[in-house]
Amino acid sequence: MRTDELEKLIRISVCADGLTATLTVQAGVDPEELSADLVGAILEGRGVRIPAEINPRVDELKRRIAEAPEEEIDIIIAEGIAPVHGKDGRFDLDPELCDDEQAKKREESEADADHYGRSAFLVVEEGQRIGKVVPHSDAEDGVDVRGKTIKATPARPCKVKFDESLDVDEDGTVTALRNGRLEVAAERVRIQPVLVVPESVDFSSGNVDFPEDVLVQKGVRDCFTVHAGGSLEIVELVEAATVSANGSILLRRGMAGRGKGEISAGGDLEAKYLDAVNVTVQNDLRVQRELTNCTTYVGRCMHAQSCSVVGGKLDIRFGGQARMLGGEAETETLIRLGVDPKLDEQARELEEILPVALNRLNQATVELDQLKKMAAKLTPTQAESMTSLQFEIMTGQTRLSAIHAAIQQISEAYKRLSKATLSVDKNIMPGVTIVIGNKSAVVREPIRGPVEVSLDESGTLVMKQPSSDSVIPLSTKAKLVPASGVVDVAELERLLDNPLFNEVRAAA
Amino acid sequence: MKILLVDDSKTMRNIQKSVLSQLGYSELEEACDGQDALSKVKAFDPDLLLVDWNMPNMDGLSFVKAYRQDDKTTPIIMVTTEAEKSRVIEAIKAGVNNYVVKPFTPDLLSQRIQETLEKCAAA
Repeated sequence: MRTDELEKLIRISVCADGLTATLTVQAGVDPEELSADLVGAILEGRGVRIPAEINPRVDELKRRIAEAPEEEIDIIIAEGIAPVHGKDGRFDLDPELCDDEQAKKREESEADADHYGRSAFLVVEEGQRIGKVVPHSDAEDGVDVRGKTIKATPARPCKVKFDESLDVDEDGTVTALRNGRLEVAAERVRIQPVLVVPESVDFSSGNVDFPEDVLVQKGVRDCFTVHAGGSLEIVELVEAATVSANGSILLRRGMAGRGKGEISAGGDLEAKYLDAVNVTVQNDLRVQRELTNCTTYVGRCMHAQSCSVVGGKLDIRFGGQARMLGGEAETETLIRLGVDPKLDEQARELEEILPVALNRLNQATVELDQLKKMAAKLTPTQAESMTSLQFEIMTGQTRLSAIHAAIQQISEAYKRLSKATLSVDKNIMPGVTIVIGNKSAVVREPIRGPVEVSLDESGTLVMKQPSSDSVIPLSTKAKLVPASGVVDVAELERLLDNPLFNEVRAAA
Repeated sequence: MKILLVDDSKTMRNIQKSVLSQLGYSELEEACDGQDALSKVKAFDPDLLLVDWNMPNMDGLSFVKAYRQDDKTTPIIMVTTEAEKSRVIEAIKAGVNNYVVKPFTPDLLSQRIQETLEKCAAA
């Protein structure tokens, strides 16, 4: 076949991106008539660069024509080099912090899932790894089959900005520099030291446990928990939930705990009202309107000049003020002043260990006296027992000295606490029980305020009317009853009268 | 200061440990008889030894004799029920520096320890 006839039976086509050239040979061509030179010439004629590997490709073409001489054969005869586009730099959040990852984990443990515990906030701690900045990659241009450059798209560096709450080290690792809520936006990552919950704490937000300050702009629903490592402010109603803070708590409205709600403040607590809540406040309590049916412990003072305390139990360490105590229906209301649970615990512990220590010391002394009587004829075992008893007595005496000092200290602390007073502006209603120290009285007739209740120097419950400066025993309006569940300081002091203490002091 | 307590009675060792702790010594090692003590002295290298006389396996006197073959200077206080004068002399000849007869009071033990240490420091 003539070359020009042969060329008519061979077609070259280049794909749109210019990266491949395909050679098509129609049926009827004798493969022996094809050569690398001929194909090279045809390629050049069509503007396609002759590839380095033209010989093996032509051999392949010839083999395929020989296998199927009746068919049209095509083969990729030349290939260009695709451009490598650059990849933009990016910030990869640690998988642990990704929503998808958290959702996956939740699905895995769906059977025992805590739906209240599903937090909508990414809370991170100082020093925690947050993610990594992946740098952009370099772009490389390509070449098409005609030898023309194909431009690669250059990459851009990571656009994400990190504020001073985060550290990005040389290898791109991003670490939290403070506790807080991690905010990840398209081009900005930061840690907010204050967690603002814009809605109520409910199933949409999950429980809240944040290491710094928390502001809940609405309320807290039943059974949810909110804990702040700093202070906590809740704008709307708190239902039968559990709220706590290491710092102070401010409830702008109040809490209706229905007997199940709990508040624990490491600092002060301020609320408009508290109803059927279990309250523990380490510092001061401020309630504007009502404290009803709550079990409350106040570690310092209560400031509630405009508040009525109705029902429940209120323990105050140092005293305070209220507008009214008790209700119209003789609601049982227990008010105890000068209460310190830690001191009570120490006193009860001492009450328990003192008799044991005294008994053991007595017993050791008796045993030692018996051995002393036979000092001249002691067996080696008895001699060792005597040494052991002498040592036991010495350590027992040291222990008793420490117990003696502790009882004295506790007794002094109780005396200071018994000076606690409570001022009531309006009324103290029947049904109110007032306990100071080991004195207790149930109010039988309304007591009109302003009045200040305290324990006088003789240990009598009295009420003082500031207007007249008159001091009247509380028993004129109340029935004195034995105080239950309180540490009897006099009883504690009587323990100090044990003659063994005198011996210990003499020995010392 | 490192002190080795050699006594088969754990109660006695505890009493000695308590007295020594009150005196401010906290680097203490215990051995339950002479053999146990011999196995520990090299590694522990004590500065003072309190040794009971009557113990199983190897008694205190045999231990003192064996120990004194290598170490002539580290002070040893014998703490024992053996109160006879001949026994005291025997112990001192074997190389004991001081002697405490059981029963003893914590104060007496403390006094003997201090006295022995002062004497050895002055020598």
